[in-house]
Amino acid sequence: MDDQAIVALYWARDEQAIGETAAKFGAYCRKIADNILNSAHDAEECENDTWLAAWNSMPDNRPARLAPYLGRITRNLALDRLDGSRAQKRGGGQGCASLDELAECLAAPDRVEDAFDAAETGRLISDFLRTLPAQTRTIFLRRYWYCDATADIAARCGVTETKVRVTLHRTRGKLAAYLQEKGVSL
Amino acid sequence: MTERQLFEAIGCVDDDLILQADAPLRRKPAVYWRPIVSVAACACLAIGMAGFGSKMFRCGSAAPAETAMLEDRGLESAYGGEDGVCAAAPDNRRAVCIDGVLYYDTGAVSDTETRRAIFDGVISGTTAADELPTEDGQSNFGTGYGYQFAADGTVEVEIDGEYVIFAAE
Repeated sequence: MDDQAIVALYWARDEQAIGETAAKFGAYCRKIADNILNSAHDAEECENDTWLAAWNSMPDNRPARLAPYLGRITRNLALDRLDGSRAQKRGGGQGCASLDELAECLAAPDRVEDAFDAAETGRLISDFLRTLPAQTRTIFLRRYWYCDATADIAARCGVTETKVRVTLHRTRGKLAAYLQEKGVSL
Repeated sequence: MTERQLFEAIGCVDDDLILQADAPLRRKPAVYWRPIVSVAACACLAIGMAGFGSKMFRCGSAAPAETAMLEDRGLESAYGGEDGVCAAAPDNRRAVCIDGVLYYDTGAVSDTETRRAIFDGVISGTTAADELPTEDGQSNFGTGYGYQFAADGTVEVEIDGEYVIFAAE
């Protein structure tokens, strides 16, 4: 079933929408959640939470493509769950490595800003990513959107893990410089 | 901004970019003519250098008078201009200086299928684009580029995801 047909089911409040979504995007969302949470059990719970969040968000929203829409929901839910686990000191202290790497982009990590517009910053990051070669862009997004391990990214792109790490290091630096140039406070 | 906020912002990038990153990758087919082009480029450079004669590049074989002249001018590399200052990079060609040898961008990209996991070195210094590097580990196009020595005596410098072949002249 294509994305528009599934979205139509949500808008019609037809519960078949959940089944179709799970069948088409279950593995996709579960993989993203597992990359962040490093726990199959937590990833499955996060997947179920994603379907509930999708059900509650449509109607009102009518996404053109479901994969990035659901992936975003899953990312944020997984991160909320990770924050909760850290607060309760569960999970053996495992964090999200890709999240930790992003601290390099920041002048003062963990500094709380009063005003932050994720959508606007996301647009700037999109503009930045479009200036990069395709492979570099893929490596960056696989690491910081999909939260893949560097070994998986290397295998996917047919390059060495060292190249992935060097590419990510350089791209983080370029991103930080780009955002500062655009007036984003880091 | 916090790491979490930056992570959320990355989550908001355009859908087409996210979908592209998830698309199956098409591996570039092996292009067997590239090694031939790189060897031909090296041969042309070698022939060109032979045409310039012994003035340009010495590997300890300079005549005593010429060696003394080089030393007097304080040149660290065996390659230098007639007036003793950094020679201009011809047509602003990219060049790197590694272990005292100048390697020039051949314009070819390596298609080596198996590559070692670590660099042999990283470019740590740079000169202006219209100058030639004179110090070890220096380029005229920036720093931070890793490189590997190839079996044919060339150096492959990793630039924007590709290994560009640099050859000595």
